[in-house]
Amino acid sequence: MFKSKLFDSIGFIRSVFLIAFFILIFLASITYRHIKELDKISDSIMNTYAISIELGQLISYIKDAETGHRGYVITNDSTYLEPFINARKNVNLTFQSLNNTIKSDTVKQQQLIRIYELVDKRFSYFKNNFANKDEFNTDFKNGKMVMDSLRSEIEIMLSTENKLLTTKDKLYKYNNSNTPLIVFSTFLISILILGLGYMRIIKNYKDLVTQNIRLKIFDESSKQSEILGKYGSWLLNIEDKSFNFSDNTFRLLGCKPQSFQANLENLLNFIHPDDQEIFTAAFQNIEESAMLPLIHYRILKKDTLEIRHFRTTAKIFIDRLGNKNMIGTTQDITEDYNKTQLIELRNKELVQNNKELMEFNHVASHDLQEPLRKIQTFISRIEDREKEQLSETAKSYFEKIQEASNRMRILIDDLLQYSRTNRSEKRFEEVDLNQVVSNAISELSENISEKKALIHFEKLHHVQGIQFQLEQLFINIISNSLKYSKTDEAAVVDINSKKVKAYKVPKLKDDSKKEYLKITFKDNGLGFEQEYAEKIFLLFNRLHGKKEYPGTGVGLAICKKIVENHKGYIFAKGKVNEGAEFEIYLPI
Amino acid sequence: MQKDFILITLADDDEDDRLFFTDAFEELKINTVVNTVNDGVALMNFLNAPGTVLPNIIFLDLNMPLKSGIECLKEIKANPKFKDIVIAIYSTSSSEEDIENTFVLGANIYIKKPSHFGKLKEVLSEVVTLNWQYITSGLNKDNFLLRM
Repeated sequence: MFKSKLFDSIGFIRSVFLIAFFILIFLASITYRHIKELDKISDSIMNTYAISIELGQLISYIKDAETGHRGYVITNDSTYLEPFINARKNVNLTFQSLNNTIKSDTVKQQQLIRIYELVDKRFSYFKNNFANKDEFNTDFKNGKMVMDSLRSEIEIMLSTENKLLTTKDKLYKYNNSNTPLIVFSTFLISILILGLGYMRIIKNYKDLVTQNIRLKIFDESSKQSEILGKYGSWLLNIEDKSFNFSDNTFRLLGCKPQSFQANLENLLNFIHPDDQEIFTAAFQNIEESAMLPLIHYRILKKDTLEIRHFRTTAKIFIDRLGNKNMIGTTQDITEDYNKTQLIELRNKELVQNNKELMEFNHVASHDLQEPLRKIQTFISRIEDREKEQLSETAKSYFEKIQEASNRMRILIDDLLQYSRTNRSEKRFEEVDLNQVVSNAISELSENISEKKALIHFEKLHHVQGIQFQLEQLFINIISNSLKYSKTDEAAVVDINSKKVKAYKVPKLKDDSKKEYLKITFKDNGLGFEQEYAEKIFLLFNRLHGKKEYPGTGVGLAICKKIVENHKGYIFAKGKVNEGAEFEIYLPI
Repeated sequence: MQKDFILITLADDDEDDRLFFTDAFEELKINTVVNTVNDGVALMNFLNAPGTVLPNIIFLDLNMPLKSGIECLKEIKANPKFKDIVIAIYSTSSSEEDIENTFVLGANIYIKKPSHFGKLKEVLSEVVTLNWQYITSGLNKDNFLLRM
């Protein structure tokens, strides 16, 4: 984002300077034209003045000639003729220079020719010898008349020149009255544009400085993270195949930063001989595929001489200037690799252990049961046929054998059930707890009617769970209540369910808003000391002697297992002679 | 004469179990002819032998050397010659896996060997006296495992 902004800015600045440049050229051309015009005007003014002066001069020379001539005529003194002779020479010179000045103007030339003719005519009246007074008078008079028309002719010419001057001046003024404004305003605009450009440059410069600082920080943090994350980054110039390694890339190889020339050959020296092929093959087709495939290889670390596992991946990156580079990351994954190896080993062990457990299960379910079944069958045969013939002692021993074998049968069955709870499939489905209780009651019907027990339950909830396990759970808890019921009172079990939030039940140690279904079993039986509340769930743990309450101590352990399978909690509360209460929390 | 007898074959490698089995039928006083074979191979040889009168019911132990009960079951069910024979699985194990497998393979009933001789007699008499034609038509997994 920053980059494109900067590049837009550069475009902006470029156009600003281009505009300013053209404005300046425009200004210069306007100024040049203006000066040129001024020059022309002043030339023509000078011209006009020169003509006026020359004409004035002309008149004054003729006057000099007249005066000289008159002096000579009156005094006959030849000294008076001197100005007259000079005047003729001067008049010719003046005409020459006038002719030069106006040679481009035909109208003026004609005027000049007329003036010249008049001057010539005037001079023709300057005679030194007059035949008579009449001639003198006529000449004098004619001379004056010629002089008058000459004057008026010159007057006309002068006024034409003056008129010309005024029109030129007007035209010039008209043409250039706007020029200063235009020049000034374009100058202002160009100053403004340049100012804007300057401000933009300053802003960009400041941005660059901030970006530079940020880049420095980023660079520093990426250096740190490279060290922490055990990875190094590198750049490969596709054209000249030169590499650029980050400092940590060198460190990963066990070298000091920038301590050797970074190139493919030098890199290959570090790579395990068996992995060199993978490595070079990966770099061969980078240009076509535009990326380096993820490769795993081993290297020999230079300083510690240990074998490390590396992982490298890279991508082609084309910058704005069209340079083709490959940006890559190499990571030391030795720890991960070792951990994975360890996990794989552990997994294998686990699979092995599981297999052994399954085999043990089979042994328990089949091979252990078989001899026991035979013992029991033989016992039953003796009981049916031979028991009566036994002595009293043998009879009591026989009964003990029978009891012991029955106990063993129960123990094996319970153990099998416990292990089956552990490994059975955990496919959860919606389970109606009312159905579960009904099934449990029908399973325990014999026991219930024997104890004359009452099982109360009303509108229990549905829960996600494994139906047959939940049934087992309910059967075990209810049968536990039946087993430890009082002899003088009918057993009553109350079953309730209620939705609760986890954080409202501190003993769940779960502060979340997760919802649980709390199922309570409350009985009016013998109860137990609260201090045993946790112990009763342990496998083979029993609070009573075998004689009074036969059992294996597996039933409630199975309950705990089932609840744990459902990611729930089970708690027991007891008070001696008042009853026991089981609380089960199952996640909804 | 044969029509009055139910022909029963037991395949079981355990000598004691074969003894209980024959003893039980002796005491039951049902018109049965019981013969026993010691393993799966012997069972298949017996069934395939020319001139063998096929049994009405085969009691099949699962865990036998040489050829397991499951293998025997597969072979029997694959041969149309034996389609009328009722197969009763007779095993110590009552694992879900075994029950499921044998049911899928087409066994008719699953009996867990009882550990009381009296119970054994009850179970065997129940199986033998079942009206198999009726049962077979209504075969389902719920009553596959015989509960007594």
